[in-house]
Formats: sequence, C-alpha cells, structure tokens
Amino acid sequence: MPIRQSVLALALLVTGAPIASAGDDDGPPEPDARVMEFQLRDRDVVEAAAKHRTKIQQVPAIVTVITAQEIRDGGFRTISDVLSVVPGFDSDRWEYNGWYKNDLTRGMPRTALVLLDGVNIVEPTRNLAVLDRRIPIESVKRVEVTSGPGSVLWGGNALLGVVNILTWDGASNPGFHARVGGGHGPGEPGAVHAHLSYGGRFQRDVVKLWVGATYHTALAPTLTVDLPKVFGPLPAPAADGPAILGTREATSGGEGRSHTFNVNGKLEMGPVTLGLSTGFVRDVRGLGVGGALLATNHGAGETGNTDLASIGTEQMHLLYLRYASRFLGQTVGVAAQAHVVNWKQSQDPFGIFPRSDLLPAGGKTILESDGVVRAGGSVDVDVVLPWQNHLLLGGEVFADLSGVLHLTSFDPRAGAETKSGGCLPPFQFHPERDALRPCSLREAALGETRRIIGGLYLVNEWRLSNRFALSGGVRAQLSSTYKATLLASAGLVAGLTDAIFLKVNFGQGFRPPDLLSTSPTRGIASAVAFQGNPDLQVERSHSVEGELNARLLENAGPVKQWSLRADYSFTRLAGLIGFPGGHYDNSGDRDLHTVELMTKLVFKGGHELWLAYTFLDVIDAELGRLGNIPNHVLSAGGKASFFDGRFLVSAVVTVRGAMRDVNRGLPASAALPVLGLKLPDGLAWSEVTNVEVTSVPTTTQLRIGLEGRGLWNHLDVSAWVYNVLDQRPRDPDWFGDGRIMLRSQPKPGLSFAFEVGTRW
Amino acid sequence: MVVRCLTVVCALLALSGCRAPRPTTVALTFKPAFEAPPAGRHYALFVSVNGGAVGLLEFTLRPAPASAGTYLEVVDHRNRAVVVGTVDGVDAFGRPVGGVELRVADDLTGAEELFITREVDGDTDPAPSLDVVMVGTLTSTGADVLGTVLLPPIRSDVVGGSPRKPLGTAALVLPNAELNGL
Repeated sequence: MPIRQSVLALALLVTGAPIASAGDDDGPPEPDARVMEFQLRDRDVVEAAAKHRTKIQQVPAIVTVITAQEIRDGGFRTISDVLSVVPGFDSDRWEYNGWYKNDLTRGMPRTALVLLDGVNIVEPTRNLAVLDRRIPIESVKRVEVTSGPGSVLWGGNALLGVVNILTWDGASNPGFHARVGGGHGPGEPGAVHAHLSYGGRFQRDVVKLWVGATYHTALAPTLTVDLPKVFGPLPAPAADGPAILGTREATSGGEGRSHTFNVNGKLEMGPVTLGLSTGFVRDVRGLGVGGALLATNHGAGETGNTDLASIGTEQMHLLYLRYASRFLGQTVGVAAQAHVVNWKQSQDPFGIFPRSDLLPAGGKTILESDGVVRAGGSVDVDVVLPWQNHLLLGGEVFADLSGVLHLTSFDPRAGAETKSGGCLPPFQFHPERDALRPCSLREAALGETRRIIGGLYLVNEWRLSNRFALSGGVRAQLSSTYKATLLASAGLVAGLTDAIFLKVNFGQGFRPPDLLSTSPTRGIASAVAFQGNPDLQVERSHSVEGELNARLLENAGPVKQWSLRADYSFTRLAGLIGFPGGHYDNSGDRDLHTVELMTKLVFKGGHELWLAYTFLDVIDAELGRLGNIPNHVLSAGGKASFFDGRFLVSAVVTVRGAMRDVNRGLPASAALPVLGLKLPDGLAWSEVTNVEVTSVPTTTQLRIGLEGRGLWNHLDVSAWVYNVLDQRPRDPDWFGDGRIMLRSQPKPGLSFAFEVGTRW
Repeated sequence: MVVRCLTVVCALLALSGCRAPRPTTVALTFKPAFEAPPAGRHYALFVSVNGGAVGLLEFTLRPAPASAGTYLEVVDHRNRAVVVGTVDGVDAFGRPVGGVELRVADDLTGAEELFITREVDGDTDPAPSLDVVMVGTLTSTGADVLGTVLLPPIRSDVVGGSPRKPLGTAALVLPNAELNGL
C-alpha cells in the first residue's frame, strides 16, 4: 500500500493536478482519502478525447473515462470488456463463429475510431480493430470513449464514436511490475498469463521510459452447437443452396492452443516521445466460419487429415514519433506526430467444412495477406485567443497501402489419390500445398491497393463564462479514392449549477469504404468471392445529442460522490455500405435512437456502486427495425473495500436484452430428398425455405472477484470467476450479405482466473 | 434533483418512439423441372393478400455462366445484371445450389397464396395473367413465417391424372417488432 500511494502521489505531482478537497480544510487528509481524491479527479478529467486537457463536464461531447484503477477493480481483461460497460457500446460480438470479434457502437459494427496513443489502429482492409487480448490491458493507463460522431476532430472511422486508448508512461507507472496467473473452465481452458513491465525517469526527469511485455495462452473454448453443420452454402455471391446438418447437438473445444504476445513501450525525451506497440496472435478455433465443427468426420473414413481447426496468425506493429510543446507563454500548443502501422494476417488452414462422404477432404482454404501499411503524420495546434476563445486546428495526411490478399482454395472432390493431370479446371496440381488435397487454386482476393487520405480541421470553443460555452468546427477531408467530404460540428455546454451541466451537440462522422469493398478484383472462381465496387462513397452520420451531466451529491454523509449522466441521441446514417447479392453498394439510410444512462455512487471507505443502461432502436430504410441487436443493455457493478483497501470484493453484471434471429433449421421430415441425393443416418437436409425466426433470449453475464492488495507490502492477489451463471449466449448472424444463414453463433461459458502480482 | 433527472430520461425515452418500415423477406426454391420461359415471355411472382394480388418480382431464368451452365440462374427481368438466386442444381464443383431470396417493402402479414404466372414481355398491366405456372397456399410454419409447397395449378379440363409434382417451395418471413424487452 505505501508503495502504491507513493506511486499515485508521484503521479499527482507529475500531472500537476491540484489536490484540493474538502479534507484539505481540515488538515492533512488520510492517505486513503488522498488516493480516493486522485481517483475521483482522474475520472473527471479528459486528457485525449478533446485533443486538449479539460473537465469531463465541460467538454462538448459525451465522454466516458475508464481509469486503470477501474479496469483493475472490475476484472476487465480486454478493451472489449471495458467497452461492454460503456453506455451505447456492446462489445464482444462474434462474427463468423469466432473468427473475430466486433464492437458495436450504438448497435452498428466497426463504427468507432480506435486510437492507441493517438494513432488510428483501425485496419483498412476490413475497417476493423479487434480489441481482445492483442491490446494488453496491463499496458492501459486509461480509456476515453466518446459517444457519437467525432469526425470533425478525428477524421475517418469516427462514424458513431471514438475510443482513445492511452498507455502508461515512465512517470505514471514507475518501477518493475510483474504479474503471473492462470485460469481454467469451459469458457477459457488451460489459460496462462504473464506480464512484466518497467517504468522509470532519468536525467533529472527529462527522459522517461515505460516498457511492458505480456503473454497469454489458452485452449479453444468449449462451444456447443445445437445442429452441427456438415455442409452448406458459402456467403454471397456464391450461389445459395441447401445445407446438411447433423441432427444431434455436438460440442467442440480444446482443438489447440492460442497464443498472444505483445510488447509496448514509450520513451520520452523532453517534448519528444517515441512509442512502440507490437503484437503477435496465433488463434485456434474449432468452429468453421459458417459454424461447422471442423474436428468431426461424417462418414468419410480416416484420411489422416490433421486440419481439425482454423488457425489464424495476426500481427500488428505500431511506431510513432511525437513532438508536443507549448509556446508564447503557454498560449500556443503544438503536437506533431509521424506514425507507421503494419498489419499482417494469415488463416492457414481456414477451415470451412469438416470431412464427410460429400466432401471427403473437407472444405478448406488458405488466406494470406502480404500486409497492410499505414504511414503518415499529423499536426495539431491549439491557441488560446482573446475573449475566452480556444482554437484547435490541424490536419493529417496518411497513406494506406495494401499488398495482395491471396486466397488458396482446395478442390473438395480431389483426395490424396489424385495424380498429376487429374485436377479438374480451374484447379491445379500442387501437392506441396497439401498432400491430402493436391488440387488447389491460388488467386488474388484483393489486389494491391493504395489510397492517400488527408484532412484539415478547425474547431473553436468560446467560453462565455465558467458555466457557458459554445463550440463549432469544420473539417475538409480529401482522398485519392473517394469524393471530398465536408463536415461540421456544433456544441453548447451550459452549467445549470456548478455541478449540473447540460450539453447539446450536433456532430457528423464518416467512414471510408474498406479496401476489400472497393477492390476491383473479380472472378474468384472457387470459394468465397469478393466483388468490390470502386465507385463506393463514404458512409456518413449526422447526430443530434443532448446530455445531462450532474454530480448530484458530494461529501454528504457516507457518500463521497454521486454522479449521473443521461443522454438521448438521434443519428441518421447515410450511404451505409451493404453487400446485397454479393455486391458492395451504398444503400439507404438507417436511423438510430439511443438513450444512455450512467450513474456512479462512491462511498467513503472505497466502496462503489455503478449502473449503466442503454436503450437502442435502429430502423433501416430497407430492412426495417433491426432485431439482431438488443434494445436494452443493463450493466451494474460495485466493489466493497475492507481493511484500509487491502481486501476488495467486486462484481459486475451485464444483462443483454432479447434479440431475434432469422435462420434455417431442420425440415419437419429429416428424410426430405434434395436433388435425388440420399444422406447417411444422423444427417438431414435443410432447405433454403425452411426458415425459422428464433428468439435469442436475454442473457446475464456475471463476474465476481476477490482481491488482496499490498499484502506483505508487495503482493497483489486476485481471483475472478467469469460468467458465474455459466450462461452460453448465442449471437444472431451478423453476416454482411444479409442472406439467411444457419443457426445463431455459440459463445463460451464459465471460467475462472487467478493472478499474483508484485511491484518493486 | 433525482426526480428532475428521471423526468428528463423519461422524456427522452418518449421521444424515441417512431414508426418503422415493415419489410418482408421472401425465400423460394425452384426444382430442376422449372424451365426457362419461352421467348417473349417472363415469369412474375405474386402473393394474394386480402383478395388482391401484390406483385413481388418479375424474373426470368438463364444458364449460370459461372458454372458452365449446369444450373439456371434466376435474374431480375427488369435488370438482368441482378441475380436473385438459382434453380436447384449442382455447380461445377459438385456442390448443391439453389434458392432465391428477396426483400420486399410490403408487410405481407395475412398473405394467403403465393403464385407465379407467365407474362408477355413489354406488358405494362400490373395485374397477373391467367397463365399460372405454380401456386401454393400459405400456412404458418413457425413464428412469423408463412410457408408452402409450390405445385402446378389444377387444370379444370383434366379429370384424375397423376399427382401433381412439387415445382418449388416458398417461405415468407413476416416483419416483427414485438421482441423488445429484457
């Protein structure tokens, strides 16, 4: 505890945050009270979301701050976990049966810009930033989440929100810190976790260094599929068709071990910062992207096939150099940054279907990316002007360069016995790729692509008084691949009292088409095909928001602080890119109504209760009211602190409302013949018109944790049970093509985790 | 203070109510016996609702170019670049294919029959012709789903004869906004 307090006190000194509190008037506060003051103030300050340091109640946007302390108290393991308690965000939505996870912002996937220390890490091929273990939570100092469009300030991808992830630095997290832990359970079997970091200051605090390394490994989770798919149609534009399903429930799990390794670092030398983040992921999944259990063998006999899972490898490497300083008596601030981000991925094997009499070698492809690079720079200037004006202006320019995305498809009809010359066109004989599937075709699913994007913005805030401010901004966005875009924003912040603020904002956002959707590559003959549309235009958002942000109580009886924020927003999304019939196109409008609420009650003694609620209603001009997202999401949590904060009991519960899912099931008669083919026992056809509308029921995710902190002065111990109720939620289909697919997607159940940490 | 806050939240909730379009998803299969229309003709898909006929799609059939003609594609008659599905068949890789899926803006709750007619190219009359090629009576096959087997029409000039063979199947996924609770 003394060490932790000294760390926090150090942080206070470094950040220059004043330690003013009611306790100051009554003499020196107790150490624990001082820590609490720091924590409370840390939550009320916005460091990055507004591009300048300000108070959360005064920023003309809806901002949620989650500090490292809150991340630890809540047992959050990933940024997705963190976002799951932010109103308006619904994280951990599986796509393609666990291939990757999406974070939904106000019900829409991939609509938030994600910045890691100010660098855009949304990968442009799919407009995707996966926020799982690949961003180690131990390296995160705070997360600042802006709800609503933010493209005037932040540029592309800020369609419905901005997630600012800020990592530690040598001043705010000094010393060595080690954590080792593990876990088990059907939700995450055989997990092992380790983290080591060091932070320090040198040369009279001119040089600061923080570096951390994190490793995590676990076996594939246990997943139960009610009707296991043996064979079925591929996503559009591949032709639709009947599917073959097993008639009995089946379970996958433990097919292989996934590994994640990351190194993050930050070196500061006066006004210059060099930042690094590098991560490697090897991901093993027992389900095919369409929901097939790959390890099963439906009457095909033993073929010696060892491809019983999908194995993906992904890398992300980020390097940035930033200069930030203030001039002219602190009235002008300049931040200039150059950055490069590199992504690379492969899926080998990319299992689609298990072995069966119909597909003796199973369905398999290989996806390999030559890599994607984003390189560019930005300059932000803030100027304090007369008459209480504060001007922000700047711009950025960067290039997205994508290498070839290779897709190798294997002919499922050709087995190990096929000889040279025996492959059917367009497949070619390449036994070196896979001796059991010697006929394959390697094509470019995405050709080399490049685009240059630039933007200029200007935002001014006019603070008429401590309680009243007006702001307005414009941005011009230019690109080599899409039309120039002009955006505007406006905001009003009015303090009804010193503690109650009302905000009204108008914001606009845009999202450039992902590279996959615009690539002119055509004619993929064999398996999953992409038919890009180079004429796609950016997707736009226009939003009106109102927020009430209040501190209802402070230092009243046992209550240290009671805060509340409630907001309503109406957003119109225009030109959303859809995938009807396998062809990308800008489609009609989509209207979003959201009501978000968050309240937090902090008691003296370190106890806390909080509650977050989201109501969401999305109406698509073509699809009608969307049913595959929950209308209501409720999260609540709290912690009880004992023995001067050395012992904590914490719990977080998230209740996600019911959804509906349109899918295909088994026909009433399992023996329905299709095309005159007869199936073995235990399998059944599913006709494309055998449609069901099923309810995905309300799910309750509960986690409970016990923590001991500062034990024997140096030791932290924690134990958490995740998904205590062992609820196995299912996600409705979220395929981009809108085709009625098969069955909802299963997700993991209960797991527990323990960890021992020390600092010196 | 709390009451004031709750009042604001309630007011915001009240504002969120709004009317949504109520589209219907239509899924069809056509058996291999369903052939391309003769020259100068195309097909039209209708449902009968409340005694009237609602036209959903005008289409024709053509060999699938990507599959060396091993099965027929179902293409929009008015825009032949739009492929809405295929007739049941096997593609060049031996995979069974087949099925048509389209979304229509109409709420077809209460639909009674689904039928397909042969129409003359260039005919601007939105009403169905009397040249019906298949028909099915829609019944509920699950929550919010109507389904049927599509059969050739009963010919009044034929008495007895062999049982009618199915030419396809159909399902209508009706709009539903009722599921809206925790």
